[in-house]
Amino acid sequence: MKNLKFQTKRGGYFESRELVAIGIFAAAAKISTLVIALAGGGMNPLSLMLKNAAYTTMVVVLLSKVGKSGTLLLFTAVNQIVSFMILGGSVILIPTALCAALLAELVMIVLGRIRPGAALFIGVALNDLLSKIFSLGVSLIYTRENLSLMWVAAIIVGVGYLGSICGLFCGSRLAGELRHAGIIQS
Amino acid sequence: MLALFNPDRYDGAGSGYKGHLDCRTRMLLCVSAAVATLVFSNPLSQCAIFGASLAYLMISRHIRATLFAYAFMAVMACLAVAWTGLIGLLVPDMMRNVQIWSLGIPFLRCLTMMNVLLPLAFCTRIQQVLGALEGMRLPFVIYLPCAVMIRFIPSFASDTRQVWESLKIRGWNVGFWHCAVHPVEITRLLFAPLLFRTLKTSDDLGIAAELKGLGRGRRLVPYDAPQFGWADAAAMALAAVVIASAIALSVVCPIDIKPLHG
Repeated sequence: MKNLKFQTKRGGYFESRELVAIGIFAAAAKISTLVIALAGGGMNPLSLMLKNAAYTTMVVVLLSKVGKSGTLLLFTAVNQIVSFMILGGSVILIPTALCAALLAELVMIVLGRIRPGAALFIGVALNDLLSKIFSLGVSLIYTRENLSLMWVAAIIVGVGYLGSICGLFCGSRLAGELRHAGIIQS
Repeated sequence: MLALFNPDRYDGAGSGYKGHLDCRTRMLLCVSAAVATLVFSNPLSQCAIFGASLAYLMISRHIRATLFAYAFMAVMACLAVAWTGLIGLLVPDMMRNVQIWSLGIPFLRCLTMMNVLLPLAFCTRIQQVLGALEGMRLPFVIYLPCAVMIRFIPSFASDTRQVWESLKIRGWNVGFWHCAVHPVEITRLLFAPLLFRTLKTSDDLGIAAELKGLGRGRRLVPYDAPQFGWADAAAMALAAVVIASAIALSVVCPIDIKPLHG
């Protein structure tokens, strides 16, 4: 299998198969969250939690599969760009999501030297938390004429974050099982 | 989005005036609308931007989808008002200064964004999106995952449909009520096969990409290279006129709504 390892000419850091994995996981995360949201009937708090849990689980499994720094940032960038171009994602959320992913990546790099086992877990948790806080900041600008709406948004985002926490544990356990089964080699 | 979920039956290029607009122009219009709608608090400026965005949406001739989107936004607005009312009942001090009319500007912002995002989602073919990505000279590390994601969303949607149907064949009642009552069970039944499918597809495609030497060769040449035309120039000029009008309105008629603190 070593003979199949090619380096991308322009990037050099990520291999083509890792870039493909990021794209595939981004598509799967988008579809699974969309299906759960539709199946749960939109604003159902339980489906909101499950949607976030599924997304975070996908991220944890992806980061376990592609164990390189920058994967989370790239995944976020791809997800946001495609959401904006095709699925009607908000353009204002792109920089906030990228900032959250960048900060989470930095924390993962620093923690990776001290406690490698916890770095992924804490990094993904931080990414979810920061992206939600930053998106609340954007909501604050959107609803600056009526700040009471922020309470509604904060409650919904808080419920979603509970789902993300569940997804962290679920993703860690799933990644462990997949590694044990030999499906994830890293 | 229609192209993603129904690629065989969809022909985005012929759907109305915006079929002639370049994908990059539509994206630029979205960015301009997002910034403009955030900056202005003046109701007249917001109305001007909203009117222009609504005209842009109506030209796309997706009447049913537009009506559905507006109905959805109306439901969301009602939910937000109901939530605000509920919080007001529980914590009266928090909502002491709140008036319903002050919700208008935030919802107008959301509607404006929806008006410019829907044409981008409805009138863009997958090939056009890929061409636009290539035309934006994005780095290969971003272009390849984006292209893979765009190409595989329809496949995953189809896979999910198959998993859903296989559950029905095995006797699971997967109606709306069951999904609402047993969401964890349904998620497990749907999510686990989808995750395994994702891992398998990613391995297969990764090896295929490496064997094809993706990322090692020369620059990719798009099949249908996007080009700017007179329609793009006209659309951008009109957008500039609308933003200038909004600025003029906010200067001539300064009716800023003061922020209401909950």
